[in-house]
Amino acid sequence: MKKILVIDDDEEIVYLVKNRLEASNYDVMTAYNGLEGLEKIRHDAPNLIVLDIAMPAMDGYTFVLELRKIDGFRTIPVIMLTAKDKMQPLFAAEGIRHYLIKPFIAEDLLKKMEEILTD
Amino acid sequence: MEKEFRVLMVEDSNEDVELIQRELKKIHLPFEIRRVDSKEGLAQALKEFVPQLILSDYRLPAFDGLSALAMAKEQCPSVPFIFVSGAIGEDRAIEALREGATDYVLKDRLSRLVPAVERTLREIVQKLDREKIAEELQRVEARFEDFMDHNPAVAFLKTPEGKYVYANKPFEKHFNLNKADWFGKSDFDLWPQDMAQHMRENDNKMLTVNRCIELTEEVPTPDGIMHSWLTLKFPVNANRQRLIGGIAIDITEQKRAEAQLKQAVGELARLNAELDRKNSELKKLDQLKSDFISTVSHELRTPMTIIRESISQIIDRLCGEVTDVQAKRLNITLNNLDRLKHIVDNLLDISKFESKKVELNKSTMDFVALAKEVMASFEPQMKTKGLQGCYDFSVESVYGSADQDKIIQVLVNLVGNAVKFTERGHIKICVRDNAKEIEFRISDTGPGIQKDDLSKMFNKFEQFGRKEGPGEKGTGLGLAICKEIIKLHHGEIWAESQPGQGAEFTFTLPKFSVKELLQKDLESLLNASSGRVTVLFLEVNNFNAIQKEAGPQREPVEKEWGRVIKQCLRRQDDRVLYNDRFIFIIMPETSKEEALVVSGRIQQSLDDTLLRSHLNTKVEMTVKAAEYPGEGKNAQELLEKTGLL
Repeated sequence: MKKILVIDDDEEIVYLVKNRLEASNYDVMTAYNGLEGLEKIRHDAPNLIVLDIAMPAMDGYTFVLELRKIDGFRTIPVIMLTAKDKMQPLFAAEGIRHYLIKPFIAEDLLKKMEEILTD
Repeated sequence: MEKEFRVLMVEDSNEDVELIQRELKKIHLPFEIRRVDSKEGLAQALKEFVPQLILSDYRLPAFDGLSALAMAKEQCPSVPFIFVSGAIGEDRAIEALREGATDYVLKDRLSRLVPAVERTLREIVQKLDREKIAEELQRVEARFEDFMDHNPAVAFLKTPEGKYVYANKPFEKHFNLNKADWFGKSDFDLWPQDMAQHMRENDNKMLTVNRCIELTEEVPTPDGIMHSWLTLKFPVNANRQRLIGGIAIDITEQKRAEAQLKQAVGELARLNAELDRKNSELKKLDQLKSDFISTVSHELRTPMTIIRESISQIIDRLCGEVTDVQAKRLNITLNNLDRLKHIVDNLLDISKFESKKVELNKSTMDFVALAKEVMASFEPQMKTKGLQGCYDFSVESVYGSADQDKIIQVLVNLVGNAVKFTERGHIKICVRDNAKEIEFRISDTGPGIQKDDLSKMFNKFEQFGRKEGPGEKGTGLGLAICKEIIKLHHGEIWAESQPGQGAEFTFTLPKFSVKELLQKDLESLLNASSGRVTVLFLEVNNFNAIQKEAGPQREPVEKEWGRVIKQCLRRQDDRVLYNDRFIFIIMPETSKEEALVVSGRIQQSLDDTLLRSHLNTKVEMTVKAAEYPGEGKNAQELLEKTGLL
């Protein structure tokens, strides 16, 4: 079972994504900001991270910068969830090419995850 | 012709006349001589002959010389009168000269006659000259006065002491003075004390510098209105006496106009500043509005996500059983949420266009494929409504540079509208590879558009008068966004329609060559990212052979190739451009080694495709690759490295 880390400061979003992913047989870990996300991956390494951008304590971009410094996470796929309608160049520079614009459709998220994880 | 000099002789003796004539001949002048010896004769001759010289005897039988002199002096006083006579005595001679005789010559000394006449003639000439000069002077003076009197400027001459000796008509007219009022008077006699003092000071200033000076003087006209005068004062030398010359022009009107102009300019500057202030306020407000729309639509996104996904999970039975009626209602809710998202997206789009925050993310694409793709996405909808989708392409494929997402947005909008408003018939999409641009045309067999609405359609929030089906109300922003997108691409968009005969929407995009497109793509990519980029250039050497073997099935093979290549390049940022035997791929964040792996994958996939099409040929391919920045520091160098330029 593929392990997914979902990071978003909105509890409802985290709940819904977790619910949806679990229904599709993913093992889901959750965190509510970047710092917490970094803490989680120290104990349990996910196969993919679904990440919100605007978050307190540590935002999505800082999280990615920190993530890329850790051995074993330099190339881990990340799907950004964004309210902006396009990928910011900052993330492209960190090798992140996958994003979904809010409000995203669950099928799109599942399709993208499947694509990435089978690559 | 030289005129004869008319000489009148008052003489009774024929002998003397002959003697005198002989003498006169010594003077080389043509003479006309008339002789009289009576009072009546003289009177007649003076009137009719009009002599220029009179020679008279003193003693005459009929009347005497002094009477003749008196008659001559009375009738023509300027004609010289010389007595030619016998001895008359000194007293009489003196009397004769006193009475006006010019000279006196004794008959026994006739040799004196010639010098006397000559002297007289000289005097006549001199006198004539003097008269001529005087006449000329008078003419000049009259001309001068004409000039001075018939120009609008006031002119005057003053003595160094400031007394007026000349003033022209305008001077008199402006100040309502006649010669008696000003002649010999000074400014102190004519104007108020302080003004006169000022003028006097100006006079002295000119006399000191002894050249023309220009100044402004304030002098009132008799109606009491103060006038401004541009005055030139200059030295005039006349008969060794120095005079003050002056010419003054009334500049009151100009000054007033100048003052008005100055005031107007000031007012204008004030209004301008006001306008600038208002403008910047408006800009601030506009920015505020754009920021507001942007913020609101961003803030709406998270709650919308939660609502949508919650409903979606209920429909998907992730939260327990749901009745069919409930599921139906929830599906309608979901559709409306998607509509709401669409409105929010449009609002955000238009606010970004308005605040000029939109940047195009250009890449190279096949517009024909794009048009097919968009049309295909509407197939289910068209099928439901019983509409037929028609394609009309002038070429197999046409490459161009554009922001793919945005061109899709335009196409979706135009095709979507066509589907929405058409109840029966067909929707046709047309792509033409014109000489200078690529043209897209979407036409329908719907009700068409009223002429009045055609011009308004691309305005914001314009719900033009086409009947919409239930639940199909638009945002009124779609076409406005289309127009902004096409404008940003330096293209054009317009609509044509005859009511009842369908509508036709056309837009154009500028055209570039394949090399230009490739170079553009590469340049924009290199500008945007700092990481490595690999350019891959593949040439299918046996393309013609494959084509031949495929025969009439050629098209499906090629069509499939595009899909195959795209499948091999799963990443969103990879750009591919293929044209017959050539395949160009730009791969960001990719090393040359990784790119070559991809090219191997492409070859394998193409071979598989051929195999599936039951063709026994394998693809023979030449592969070239160049990596940035190692093998080329810019687009030009990279393309040269792959042998493309």
